[in-house]
Amino acid sequence: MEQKTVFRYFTIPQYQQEEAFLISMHRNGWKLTGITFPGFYHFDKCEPQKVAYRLDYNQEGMKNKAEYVQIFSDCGWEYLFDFVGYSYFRKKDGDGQEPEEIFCDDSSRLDMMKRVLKGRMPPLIALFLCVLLPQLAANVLGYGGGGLIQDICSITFLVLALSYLALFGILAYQFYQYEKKLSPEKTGVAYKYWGISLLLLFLALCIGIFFYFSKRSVYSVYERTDNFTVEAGQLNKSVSATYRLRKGDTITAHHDYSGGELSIRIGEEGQKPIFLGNSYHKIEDFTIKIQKDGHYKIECSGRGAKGTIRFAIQQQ
Amino acid sequence: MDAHIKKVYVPMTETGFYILLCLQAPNHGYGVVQKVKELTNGDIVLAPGTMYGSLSKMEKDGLIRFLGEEEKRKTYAITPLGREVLSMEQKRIERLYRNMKEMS
Repeated sequence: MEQKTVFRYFTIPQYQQEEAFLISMHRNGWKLTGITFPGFYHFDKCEPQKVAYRLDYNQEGMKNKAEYVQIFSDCGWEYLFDFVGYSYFRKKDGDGQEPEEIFCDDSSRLDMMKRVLKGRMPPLIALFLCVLLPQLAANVLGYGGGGLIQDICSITFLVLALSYLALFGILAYQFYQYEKKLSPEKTGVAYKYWGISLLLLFLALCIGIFFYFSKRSVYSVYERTDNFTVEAGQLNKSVSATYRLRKGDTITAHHDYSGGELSIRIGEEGQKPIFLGNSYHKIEDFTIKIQKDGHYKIECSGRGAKGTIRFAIQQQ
Repeated sequence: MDAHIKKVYVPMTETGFYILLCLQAPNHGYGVVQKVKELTNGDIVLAPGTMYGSLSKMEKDGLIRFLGEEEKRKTYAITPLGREVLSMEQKRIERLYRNMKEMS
């Protein structure tokens, strides 16, 4: 038998679009046989027919499967299968009548929408609050040592968290459209969704501000002939100074660390560095002696680094 | 009767009203569907999703109670609270009917 698979993705409240899709497939001679995650719809070739496909979301019914399916089959509905919480039903349409429905009033349609909301939103919200936000905060604040990987994680979690908020916004809007259609006389509906939208915007703004403040740099640099000093409230970039030094000169570093991660690199441009240090916890004070004349660049790169570092230059 | 019941069930949907009306005698969901079809000469055909949802909601709210199961069909009957809601609803509909007659 001829078969085909079509990929379609419907978001949580789009069950009506999904029904319409299945109905039109059957009308074109493709009968639904199954769905695999995340949205592969499998069809068998069949006679084109006017058939109603309907989705119900009823966790209570899932628990009492036998009698749940029984009432549908008593009413002439063929039970197909369940897919991510939805139960799929099919019934041949009568001639020239309205399409067959599994709900006969708006009140029960709204009840179903609420069941969908209750069943599907808490896991998403829990994931957002318990995984995404803490991960974002931990990576941005640099717990775990900083480093490039953590920067990549920070950006990834930032994008994920903001996409989640956008997704919540889209879902809220879809539910709003649906609820408005079902009970246009209720005035509170619009206010409720305005509230949700404002809350989402506020959250996005908070995340943005948090990210901005934790990634900006607050520091002062003193570049003098005998010393180079960086005082950082928070250093998230690289600062440097170049000195012309002779053989026998020394550079002594005094570090007063109070947080974050700092890398220090001292060396001639384009050459192997004569000092390379990367410390998360503590950087030891050190002195190095110059072995050959040249232009030496002292470079400090911070990731949320706090504290003061002073390089004293002693010339012979 | 608590505020929740009043808010949800007064006034009632046509489906809810017919369910309570029919469950004055013990019956199962599909039995109610058939009975309503008979009472309204086929005009009102209660749909299974609505029926199943309403029955579980009414059972949870204590308007009807579960009696037993036969051949995978759950039998329910109205409770005293259900009767109270039904009689409030009957009075409301009677008044509606009376006013309609007087005004037309």
